Amino acid sequence: MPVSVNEKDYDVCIVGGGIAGAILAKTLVNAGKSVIVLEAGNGVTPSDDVNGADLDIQRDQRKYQGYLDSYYRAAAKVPNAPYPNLKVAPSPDVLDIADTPSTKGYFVQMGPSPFGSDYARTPGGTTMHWLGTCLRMLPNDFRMKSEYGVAVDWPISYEDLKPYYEMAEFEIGVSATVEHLKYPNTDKTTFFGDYVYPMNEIPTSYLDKRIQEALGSRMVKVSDGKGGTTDVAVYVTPTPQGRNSSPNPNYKMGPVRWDAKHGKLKLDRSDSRFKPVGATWDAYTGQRCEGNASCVPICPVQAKYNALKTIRSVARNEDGTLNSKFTILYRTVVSKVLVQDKADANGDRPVIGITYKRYRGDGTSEKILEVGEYTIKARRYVLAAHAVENAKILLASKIANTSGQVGRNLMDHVTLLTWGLKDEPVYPFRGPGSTSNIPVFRDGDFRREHSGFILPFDNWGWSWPVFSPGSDLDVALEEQVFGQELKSRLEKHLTRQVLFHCECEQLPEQENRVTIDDRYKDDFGNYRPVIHYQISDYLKKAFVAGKQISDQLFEDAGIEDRSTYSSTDACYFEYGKKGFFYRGAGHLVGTHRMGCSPKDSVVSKQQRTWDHSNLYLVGCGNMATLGTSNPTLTMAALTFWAAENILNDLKEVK
Amino acid sequence: MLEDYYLCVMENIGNLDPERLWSIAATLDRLKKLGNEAALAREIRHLLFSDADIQPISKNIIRLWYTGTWRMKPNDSFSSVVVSPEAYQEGLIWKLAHAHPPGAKQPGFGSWAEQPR
Amino acid sequence: MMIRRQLLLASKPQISPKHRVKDLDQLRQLLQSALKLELTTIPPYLCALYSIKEGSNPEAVQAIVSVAMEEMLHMALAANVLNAIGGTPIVNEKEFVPSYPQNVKTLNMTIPLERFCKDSIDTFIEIERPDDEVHSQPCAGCCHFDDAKSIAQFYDLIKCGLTDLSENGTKNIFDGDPERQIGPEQYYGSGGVITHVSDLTTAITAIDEIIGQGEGIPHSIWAGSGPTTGRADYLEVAHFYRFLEIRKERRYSGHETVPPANGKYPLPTGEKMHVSWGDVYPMRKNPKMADLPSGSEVLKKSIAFNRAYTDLLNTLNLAMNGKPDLIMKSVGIMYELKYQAIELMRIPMPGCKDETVGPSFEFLG
Repeated sequence: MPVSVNEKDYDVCIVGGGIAGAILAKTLVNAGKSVIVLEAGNGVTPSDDVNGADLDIQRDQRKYQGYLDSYYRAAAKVPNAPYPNLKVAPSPDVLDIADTPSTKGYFVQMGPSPFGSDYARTPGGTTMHWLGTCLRMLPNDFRMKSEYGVAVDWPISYEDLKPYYEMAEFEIGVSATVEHLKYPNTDKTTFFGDYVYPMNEIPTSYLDKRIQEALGSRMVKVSDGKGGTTDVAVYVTPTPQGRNSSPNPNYKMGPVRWDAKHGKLKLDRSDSRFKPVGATWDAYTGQRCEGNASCVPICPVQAKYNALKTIRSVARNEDGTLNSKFTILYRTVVSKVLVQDKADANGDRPVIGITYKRYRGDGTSEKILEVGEYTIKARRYVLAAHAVENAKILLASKIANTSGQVGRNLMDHVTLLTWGLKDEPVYPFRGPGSTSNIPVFRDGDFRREHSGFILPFDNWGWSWPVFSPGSDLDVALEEQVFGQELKSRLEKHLTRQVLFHCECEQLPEQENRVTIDDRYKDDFGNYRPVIHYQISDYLKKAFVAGKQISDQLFEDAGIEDRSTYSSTDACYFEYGKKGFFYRGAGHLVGTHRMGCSPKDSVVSKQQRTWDHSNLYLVGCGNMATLGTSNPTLTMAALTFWAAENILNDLKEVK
Repeated sequence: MLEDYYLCVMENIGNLDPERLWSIAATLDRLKKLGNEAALAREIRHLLFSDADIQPISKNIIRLWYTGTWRMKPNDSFSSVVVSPEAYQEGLIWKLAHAHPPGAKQPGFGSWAEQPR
Repeated sequence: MMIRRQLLLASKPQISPKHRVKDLDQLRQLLQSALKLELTTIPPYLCALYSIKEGSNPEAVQAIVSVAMEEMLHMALAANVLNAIGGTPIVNEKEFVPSYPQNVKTLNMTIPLERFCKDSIDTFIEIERPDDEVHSQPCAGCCHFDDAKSIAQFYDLIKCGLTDLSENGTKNIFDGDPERQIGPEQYYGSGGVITHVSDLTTAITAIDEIIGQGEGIPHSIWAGSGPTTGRADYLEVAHFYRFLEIRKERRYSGHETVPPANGKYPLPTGEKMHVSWGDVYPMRKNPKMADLPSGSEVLKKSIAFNRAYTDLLNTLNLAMNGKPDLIMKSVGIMYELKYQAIELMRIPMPGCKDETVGPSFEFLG
C-alpha cells in the first residue's frame, strides 16, 4: 500500500476526538492555531469530511436517534450498547469479561484477574456513555507518597490545577452548589474560594433524601493507619455533575481565552448568565436534565455533556460559518508515530509524522473498505486517543519509553457493590444514575492500609449487580408467580431496591499493564491491547472495610442486605474468609504517567513526553494516581493545562 | 404493538401447534367467565406452567408484557432479545416500579427529587 | 404568534385617544385575554405533535415543539406583566379554558384539535402568518381581545395601555409583588427570553418578546443573521416558513426574495423535503369524552388525561400566583400528559375502524 503524505500545513495534529482531543482542539483553535483531529470512529457525514465536524444538523440528529434505537433494542443495556463496535477500531465490551486468560472481545486478558472496564471508540469518545460525575480530586490525592507512604506524588498540586478545574467545569457545564459540598481533610476556603459552579445543583433524589434521613449522624470505625481504628462521622453530600440544571446567576465567567502576552489561559469575566449547552442538533433540547435515567449509556436529549458538543462549538464560528482553522477526519485509525532516527544534539528525537489508515462505510461490515494509508505532518503532535489506545500507539511505535513505564500502572476504580431492600418504598429507577455520595472515606490515615473510596448512592435499583428489573421478573417466573401476585411482588420489590457502591482507589503497580503482542491484532492490522491485571491486598482490604461500613449503614437505614457474590463470577475473589466480586468503573488511568523524572515517568508535568520534544500526551493516561474521583474532570483540567503549555511552546514557532 | 407481540409468539413457538395455545386460551377464558378465581389459578398453573413445551412460551409471553423481551433459549438469560423499541418502552414493569423505561418517557427536570405522582 | 415586526418598530402604535385603555382594570383584562389567546393555540399544536409516530417527520416535530414552547413562554410573559401591575392571572376557570373547536375572533378563525395533516398545518400557517395588514382603529371601549382586529392590534393596545397608564413610566403602576414573577430559573427550552417585569421598560421588553421582536426578523425567512453560504440547516427558518416548507414538501433554498412587494409570501423553491403524512395516528378531529362509551376502559383513560390537564392548569395557576417554583412540577405534568396523549392516540375509537381516540383537552374543574 503506497503511503501518501498529507501536505497541508497544521500547527497541531491531535489523535482522538474524545473530550481531551476536543478540548485541546477548541482551545488551540480559539488561540488562532490550525488543528487537525484524527478520529477512528465513524462520523456523521457519510461523504468525506475534510473540514467541519457533525455539521449537518438533520444527519446529526438521525445518527444520534440511531444510537438511541440501538439502545432500545439491546437486551443487555451495557455502556457500549448504543454505539457501533467497529471492525476497524474495536471497543472493549463488559459483556466480554471472562475467566483469564481470555481472548474474547477486543482485549486480550492475561489475568490473573480480568480487567473490568470498557471505553468507546466513537466520535465524542467515552463521554458518550459516561455518567457525568464531576468531582475534583482532593489535595491529598496529589501527594499520596509524602502523606501516606504509598504510590507516588504528582509533580503538580491541587493548587496548581485549580484554575484549570474551573475551565473544565465551564466547558463541561457542571451543576453543583458549593455550600452543600463537604469533603474530608479539605479546607473549603482554599479548595473553592469564592467560586460558584456554572449551574445550580442537580436536585438529589427522593431515595437519597430518605436514606440520608434514616442515617442521621452515624459514627463508623475505620483503620487509623497504625494498626488500630478510629471513629469517623458519616455524612452525605450532593455530587457535582456535568448535566444541565438551572444556571447560577452568580456565576460570572467564561469563555476560556488565551492571553498570549502572559502565556496564560484565562476564564474571562462575563456579565451574561451561563447558557446551558443543549443538544448538538437543537440548542433548546436538553436545556435541563429531563430525568431519562439512562445517562449511562445514552442521554436522549444530550442534557448530559458529551464531547460532540465541544467539537461542534469549535467546528463552527459564532456566525455559523465553518471554522477554517479546524479539521476533523473521521474513519481515520492511527497506527504509528514516526520519529527521527537519530537523536539531535540535545538528545531529542522529534516526531516527524503520524501514520494512519482510512476506511469507507460504517466500519462494522465484515468486509473492510480500506481507502489508503497516509502520513501527516504538523508542528506539534498530541495523542488523545484514550489511556489504553495511547499506550498501544506508543508501544507499536517503540517510542517515548525510556522510562519503561509506557502501558504500566493501569488503574481503575475497583468497585464493591452492596445492595439491599429498604423498609419502605424509595422509588429507584428514576433520575440521574447517582446524585449523592458519602465522601468520608475518600481521604484519611487509613489510606496507609487500604484504598480510599467514595461511596455513592445509586438511583437505578439493582440494575448494575443483577440486571434488575428483568432479573426480578425472571426470579418470579421461575417460582411460577403470575397475575396480581406477580404485580404486587414486583411493585413491592422494585420500589425498595437500594444500591451503594464503593469505588476503591487502585494504586499504580508496575505489573498492571497494557502490552502488545504480534499474535494479537485487529481486523485492520492494528494491535489489540494485551492486559495483565491483578487486585492487590491494599484494594481487598478496602473491600472488607467497605462492606463492613455498608453493613452498618444498611442496618441504620433499615435496608436488608441482599448482596451475594457468586464464586463463579469471573471477578470473584476471597479475602479474610469473605468472598466478593468487583466491577470496573470505566476509569482507566495511568498508562503513560506524568512525573518529575524521565526515569520513572513518560511525560513531564507539562504533559510533554520526555523523549520527544514535539510530542504531547493528554488524557487519563497522564494521571500519576487515581484518587477517589471519577477522572474525567481532572483529565479535562489537565488538558487545558496541556493546551496552555503547547501554546507557549508554539510561540517560538514562526 | 399487538402485532409485534403476536408475530413474535408465532415466530418463536417452533413446532408447537398454535391450536394448542388457542385451546388453552379458550379453556382459561371459560373459567374466567365463571368467576372461579381458585380454579382459574389452578388451571393456569397446570396448563401454562407445568407442560414442558408450553411453559417457556408462557414465561416468554409474560416477559413480552413486562419487559418487551423474548428469551430464545429458556435457560440462558443472555439469550433475550428486545421485540421492538415500542415493546421495550411499553413494558409494564416500569409502571409497577412507579418509574419509566430508561431513555424514554422521561418525567422532567427534578421529578426524581419527589415521590412519584 | 408572529407579528410583522416593522409595524411595531417603524412607529409607535397609532391608536386614537378615545380607544385607549382607560384604567388598570381594563389593562388587566386585556392581559388576561392574552393569556387565553396564547393558551388556545397550545393544545392544537400538541395534538398534531403527539399524533406523529415516533421517529417520523423530524422537521415537523422540531418545528411544532419550538412553536409550542414559545407559546408557553408567551403565557409566562403575559402572566409576568399582569402580575407586575398587580393583577391576578387566572388559567383554571371553566370560562377561561378553550373548548375545541375554539373560535378566535382576533385571528378570524376557528381552531380545531386534529392530527398532523395538511389541514392542521394550514391552521398553523394561519396562526403564524406574519400580520401584515395595516390595522384599522379598534372599536370604542375595546378591552377584550375578541374585539381587536388582529393580534398586532391587540398587543398594541396593551403596549399603549402600559405606556399611558404609567405616564411614560413616570407613574408607578408596577407595584406587583416581585416574588410572583417567573424567571429563567423556572422557564427554559425555547429561543425566547423570559423577562422579570418590574417597570415600563421590562414590560415593553416582555410584550416585544411575545410579538416577535425578541427573536429574529419575522418578515424574512431567516430567523438568524441571514443565510451565509446558501442553504444552511444551521440557521433556523422562522416558524411560518417552516410550516410552509412542510406543507409544500419543499425546502427554502435561501435565495427566495422576501418579502415581495404585493404582500404575498414566497413559497419554497429548494430541494424536495420528505413529509410522511401517513406516519400519523389518525385521531378523531375535536374528540370529546362524550364520544366514548360510558364505563369503558378508554373513557377512563380519557378522563385520566383530562384530570392531568386540569391538574396542569391548576398547578400553573398556582405558579402564576406567587409560587413560580411550581413551574418545575408543571413541567412534570406536561410530560405525563404527553405520554397519556400518545396512549390515547394509539387506541382505536370504539365503533370506528379508521380513527383513534386522541386527547380531548377538556377542563374538569
